[in-house]
Amino acid sequence: MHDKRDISFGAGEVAGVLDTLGDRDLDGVEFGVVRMDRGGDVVSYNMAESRLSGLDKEAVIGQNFFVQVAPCTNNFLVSQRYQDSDELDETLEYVFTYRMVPTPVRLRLLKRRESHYQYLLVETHVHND
Amino acid sequence: MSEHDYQQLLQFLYRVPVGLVEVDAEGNIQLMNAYAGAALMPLAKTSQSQNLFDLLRPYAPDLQRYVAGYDHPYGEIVSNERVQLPGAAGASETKMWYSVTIERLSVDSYMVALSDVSAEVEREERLQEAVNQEAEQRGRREIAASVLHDIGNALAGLSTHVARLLGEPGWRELTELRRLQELVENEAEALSRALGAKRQEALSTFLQELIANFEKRYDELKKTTNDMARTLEHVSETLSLQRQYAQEWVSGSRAPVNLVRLVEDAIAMQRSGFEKRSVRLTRNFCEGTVLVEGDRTKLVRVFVNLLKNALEAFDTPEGDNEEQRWVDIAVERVEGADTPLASVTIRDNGCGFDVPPESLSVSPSGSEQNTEKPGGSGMGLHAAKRIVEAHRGWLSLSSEGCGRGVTAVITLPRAEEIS
Repeated sequence: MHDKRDISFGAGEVAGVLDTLGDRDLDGVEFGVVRMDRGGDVVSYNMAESRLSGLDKEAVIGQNFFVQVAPCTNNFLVSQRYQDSDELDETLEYVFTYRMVPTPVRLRLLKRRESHYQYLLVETHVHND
Repeated sequence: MSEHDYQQLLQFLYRVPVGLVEVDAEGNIQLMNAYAGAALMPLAKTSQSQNLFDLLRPYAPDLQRYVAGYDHPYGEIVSNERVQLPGAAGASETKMWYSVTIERLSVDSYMVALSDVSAEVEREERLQEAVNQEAEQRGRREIAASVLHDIGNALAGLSTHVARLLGEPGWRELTELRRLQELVENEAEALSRALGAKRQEALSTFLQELIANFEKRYDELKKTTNDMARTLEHVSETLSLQRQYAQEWVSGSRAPVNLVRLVEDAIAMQRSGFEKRSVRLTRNFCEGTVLVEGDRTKLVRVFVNLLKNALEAFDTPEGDNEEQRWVDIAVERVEGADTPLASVTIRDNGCGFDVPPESLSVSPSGSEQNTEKPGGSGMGLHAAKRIVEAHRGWLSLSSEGCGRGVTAVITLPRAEEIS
């Protein structure tokens, strides 16, 4: 079992580690983690991401992330990247529109051939405590 | 408002399938829904710009100026202006058209709405293209009709001249020479006395030869003029037929047409080809009219094409044998399986071809095997086949082999005869 404190946004093998974490462990992670199946339906939505977006976990689980939860990512920069490749580890600067307010974020798009899941990690530049 | 109601309202605005953005006077984005985010973020490239005017400047450079120049405290600034942006969904190279509306809500607040009108723009473009093409086609037909008209006028002038030449009673010089000869004959004795018998005879012979020469030249000229008149008549006839077809082409008529008439018109248009090559033409036409429904202009082109092919098949070494050249044309009523049909069969004894008929695909690329004549492209055949098929008919070509001619059969559905 990994200590959640070990997990950082930029860590090298983070996707493999995330696969071993349960929902409770994900809630302990400081940055936003969205765990999706390979079709984009949300499997886990951690506390940090829920705080950022203002969306309840229950409202989000089972919904399609790119279409229903965060349609602002439904373009070639984000959603298309997941569709186009089996292996994905990319970091990009983006602007989310949480509660309609534009919020600069750093995104990390993760997908591995051997995993059932794909991940979107979200880090805000300004940490809100 | 409860937290739940607030969330619902937020979700409603967030997910509305139209981009909504609120900016201040400088263009800084205050609020923006998901649709706007998805459309605008790809424009930011590397920076995380949150200024709408910066984002849109490369695609709609005037927007900021419109906003800056608007001095009323509220109201519509831009209404449904079309802007082309790199596609939000799918590949980055697909462009999308958005309709942009900007409304000033208060002194430092502007609402910008974006909606995707790509499909509409594409439809409009397609329609415009079709309209342009039609106009161009129509223009070409009108030019063709007007050129034919001008040539017709010029020919009419030429025909008048030739007719006048033919109408002339003969050369005055010749008449006077004959009179002179008569005089010489009548005064033979006196002249013989004055000039001597030898000289008188030489003068008489000279005059006779001169007259014979003049007569010969006159006959030759008369014959050439006659030939010219006949050629002119034929060209005028062809031209008047072509003009008639060109005019119908412009009006695009599609009515029952008499197949026998069409074939006769096609023959008339190719008459000089028959004459030039001394090809004997035989007709086996059934009695009365044979009606088919279709475009007269296009169908006559098919028959002209096939007749031309048949005639040009005599221009090759294989087609140029000692036998009498002939083309036989038959128009018949045929009873089809469930519809009455009409067929036109054009047979020739020209060069023919060796390839079995089933492999004779009438294709536009036209390899040498597809065409009877060297240098031919098979293009005429392809066009003919397409026209016949567009009339729910079919065209077949067969030959018993090299040097043994070709049989072309065009079959078309017959229109019901009106009794």
